[in-house]
Amino acid sequence: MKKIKQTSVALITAISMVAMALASCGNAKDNAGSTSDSSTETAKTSAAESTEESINDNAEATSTSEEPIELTWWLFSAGAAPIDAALVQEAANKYSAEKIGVTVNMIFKEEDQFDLSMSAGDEYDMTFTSDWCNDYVSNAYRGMFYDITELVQEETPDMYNKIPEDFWKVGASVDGRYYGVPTDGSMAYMMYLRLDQERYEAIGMELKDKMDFAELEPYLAAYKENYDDVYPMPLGKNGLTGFTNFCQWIAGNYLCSPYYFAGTDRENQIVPFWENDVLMDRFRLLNKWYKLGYINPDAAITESIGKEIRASVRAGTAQPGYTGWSAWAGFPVFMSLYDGPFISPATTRGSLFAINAACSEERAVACLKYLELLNMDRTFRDILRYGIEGVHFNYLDDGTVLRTEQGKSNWSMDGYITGSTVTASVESISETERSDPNPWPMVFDAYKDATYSTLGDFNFDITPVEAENAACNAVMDKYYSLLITGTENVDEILPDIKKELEAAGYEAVLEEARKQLAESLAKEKAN
Amino acid sequence: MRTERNRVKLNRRWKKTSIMTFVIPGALWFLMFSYIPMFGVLMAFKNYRYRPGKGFVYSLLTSSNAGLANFRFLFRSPDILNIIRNTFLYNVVFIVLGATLPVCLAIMLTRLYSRILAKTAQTVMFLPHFLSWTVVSYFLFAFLSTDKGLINRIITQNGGEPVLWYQREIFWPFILVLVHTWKIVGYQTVIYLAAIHGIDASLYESARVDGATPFKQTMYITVPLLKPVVGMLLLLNTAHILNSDFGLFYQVTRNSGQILSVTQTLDVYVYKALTESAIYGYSTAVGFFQNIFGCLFLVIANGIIKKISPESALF
Amino acid sequence: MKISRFANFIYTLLFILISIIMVIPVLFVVIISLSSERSIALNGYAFIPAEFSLSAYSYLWQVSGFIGRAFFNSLFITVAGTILGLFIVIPYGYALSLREFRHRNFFTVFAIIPMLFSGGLVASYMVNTQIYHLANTYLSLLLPIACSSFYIFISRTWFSTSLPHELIDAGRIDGATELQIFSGLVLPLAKPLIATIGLFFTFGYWNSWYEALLYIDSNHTDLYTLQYMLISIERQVSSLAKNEQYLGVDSLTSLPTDSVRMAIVVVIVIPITMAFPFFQKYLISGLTMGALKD
Repeated sequence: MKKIKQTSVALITAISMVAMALASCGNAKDNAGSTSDSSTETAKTSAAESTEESINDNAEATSTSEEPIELTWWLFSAGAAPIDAALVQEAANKYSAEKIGVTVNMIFKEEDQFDLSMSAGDEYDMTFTSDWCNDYVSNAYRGMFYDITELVQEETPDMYNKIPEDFWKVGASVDGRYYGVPTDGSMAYMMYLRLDQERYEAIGMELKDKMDFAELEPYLAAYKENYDDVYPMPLGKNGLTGFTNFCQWIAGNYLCSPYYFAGTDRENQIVPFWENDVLMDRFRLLNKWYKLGYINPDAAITESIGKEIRASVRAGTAQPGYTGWSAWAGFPVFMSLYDGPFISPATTRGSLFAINAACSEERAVACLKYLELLNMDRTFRDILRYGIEGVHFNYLDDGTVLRTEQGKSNWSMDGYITGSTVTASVESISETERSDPNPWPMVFDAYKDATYSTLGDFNFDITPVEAENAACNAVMDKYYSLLITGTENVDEILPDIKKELEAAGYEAVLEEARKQLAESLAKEKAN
Repeated sequence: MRTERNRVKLNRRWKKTSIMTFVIPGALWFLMFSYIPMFGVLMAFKNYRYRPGKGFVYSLLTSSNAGLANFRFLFRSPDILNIIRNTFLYNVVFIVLGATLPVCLAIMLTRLYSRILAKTAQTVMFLPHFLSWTVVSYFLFAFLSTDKGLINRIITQNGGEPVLWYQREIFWPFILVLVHTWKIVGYQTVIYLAAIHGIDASLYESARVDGATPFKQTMYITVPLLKPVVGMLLLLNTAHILNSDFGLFYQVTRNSGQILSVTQTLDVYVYKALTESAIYGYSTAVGFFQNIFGCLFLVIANGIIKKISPESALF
Repeated sequence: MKISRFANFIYTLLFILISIIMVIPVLFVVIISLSSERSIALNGYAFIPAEFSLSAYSYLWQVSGFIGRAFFNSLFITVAGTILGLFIVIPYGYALSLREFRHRNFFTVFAIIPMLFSGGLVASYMVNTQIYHLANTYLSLLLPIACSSFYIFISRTWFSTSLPHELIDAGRIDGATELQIFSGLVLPLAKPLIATIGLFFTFGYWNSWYEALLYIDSNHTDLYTLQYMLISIERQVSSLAKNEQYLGVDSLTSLPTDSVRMAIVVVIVIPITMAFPFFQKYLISGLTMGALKD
């Protein structure tokens, strides 16, 4: 028996060696292709991305600079890809091939698919990245993205100058270098309460443009008295959207630096969440409201509150002039600002496109040119934003856009997924309900009052304390829903949370964050 | 159909090697899909960092060594012992149940007068297998929801206080075991039915002639002959003693925070810890940890079973 | 001798009860698929919904191209996969059950180790996509789950206990090759085993979705299977809920409703329920053994 086991082990070791040799051969072959100047060879050896669907039949072309370069482009999608993806891709490719000699093969990925593909080394040229998906900063630190700092200014100066400076200096900058092209659009977090205008006005409650969070209480009380078919403020396990955006979150949802610290003696401090008085008060309020029956009792285990539930209070991040919520809800929704505007690296990092560090310079330039076209050419941007003119949408006389039925069902996704929202035309809801064709000046005007993050260019590199962070995230996962839905009283469960976080090692994370912050601030002062 | 009888010796050797052809497809499959990717275990011992353009293997080999550091991640959690206890105990219960309940059901099915009921029951017992855990969790939620659930509505209609099902720990070991059994018992029963089917009918015939009651027939023929299958399935399940069905422990419980002390298993914990930052070194390390434990248990259990009923042993 | 009538009565009650418990959730799913979305929103899932509606099924009919294609894919990989799986597993189990197989111990261990150890997700993903180039092919849905040590050992045990070895010896004496013995003598007797393992493979493939998640990208929706479509919708719901603040309303409009999701579940469950009797023929038929004849 021993002999069998020994031979087995030997055999397995031998096989593993062979396997690794095979694997490295395979990879070397693929990567030799991608780093060479032969763009078509890369297109063929792109293992994970099959080119079956690529309508661009130039894939088989030989490497002459006349044939369009085909780029593999990863985009974000919450679920299934849009139905007409192939159609729109074909139209976009025709346009871009003619203008700049570049075409794309679009692949839509979900959040965790990004992580797996990046780790396993799937081939790509451009990818979606952001603060909340396919994390921009940590990938930049790991060297996964192409450093485009000089390239973007040399090769595509028009795009560079068009995108507001804050997006570059605050959003795309990691230790002073740029690793992706930010998508411009809304730059700040502005948190709104979405109130059921119809029902509140019917019971005589006056709605204000700006309100404090605590001021909700009389509204909820009044609603509960008058309507009994639905809870005043039903919540899902993630609580009110954007509820904690009045702080910068440094690590998970347990270390923060609130914007309101600025100008006080606690400026530039990173604190654990229980030292954030405003947040704690909000938790206490939520718990009070929960006990009063304003919130559904199963909030902490409810996935989300669907469209069909007529919640009188929802929340969301938007900008002034946003009209989407009324259309979505099916009744007039009144937007009341309760937090913001805040500008920080996180807010400017809602969406970027990064280039694979393994790309050759030629391909990187091709990517930048494509992004430039997307940013500068409105017609092209509209193709990717709304689809094919005449099929998915039509232009109205004021320059806004009206979607067709096919457009709404087959090519419908958020603007930033495919690029700049500023460059795209604005969508009107219907012939009669027109949107402002040029809303952006108003939006940027609102940013004049914005509170800027005082932490500067600080990006927390969590690698030294990864393990502690993971353990702390697991602890917070246990308690967070309970706090953010008001299910439990924060003062009662805080001792337990503290104890568990301590055991998980949050103090090490805090110390490391503070250390890095101090270094970052010192460096900025020196410059 | 007949080969030359003269070449018996050659035939014998040929036959022995030709048995080998039966294992070739399987061996090839294992090689391609199990053994070759096994080098990925290295990730558990390295600080894996992908180097763009160099490929996965190169990146893996050149990443810095982490030794056992990735394993320490697991032990950072203050609840880790509780988590391991949960995983282990649930599996023990599942294994024991799986070795007794479906056997009884299978035997009973063979004895039912009504063949129609037997066939229907067998088909229907398989239905839960096709419902995804998400669907099962909706179903349970429809019963146990605090304000809209069926059970609480009945209670409040009769003047009682609604029970906070998803917030009290005491219910969940029972709920989880019940739901798990409900989902898997049909599947398990079929295995034993096939085994019973394989028992030589003449054994029962001669027992009947000797005047044995059905009960005696079961105890002296069916059960002993089922022992190898039962033993072997039991053994196979010990190899996964620290694994768990994610859907059951995460979705059915709706990841409710207040009941985690009795519902959180290792796989669920790892998922929650790594959902923000996918550190594959950690998940591979935990996987390796689960594998080692499973291996250990398997060897121990195999040794024990060998002494009791050698034909059930795995090796 | 049959069991007593009293015993039979108890057993009958028991199995009726069990059948009810098993069927109720499926019934529940059917009811939800026939509930209107409004009543689900207001009252949650209920056995007797406030409003009935066929909108879920009419929606499915609208996208029947998709559903039809997914159905075909599920069917194809189930049939092909089951055949492939049986081809790999049954002979292997048989070989392991033969004491005269010289390399028996080696191949037993060879099959045990993968059950215990695995290289992890990233390595298998990378090997399957970059070395074997399986991504976006039917093979990626078939091969990764075409074999299981579990089934091999079940087969081995079944062959050891239920196959009379004298039969094999007789075959050898008659001068038949191993292959002839296996196909001509052993397989016909092994029908219950084949039916059982075949059943498991069938259900495994029909239910599978993880492989589609890993290996089929958004440009190849024509390879999606039914269960994957359902899971992908469920994932979409969680993803939207989790990232609500980053996602605008456009992402939220195209989400299928609860009743549609349940209708998809119905489409998944019904065919397989109909496939079961096919296997049952081989499973229960032999249960009319001598013991029950009187």
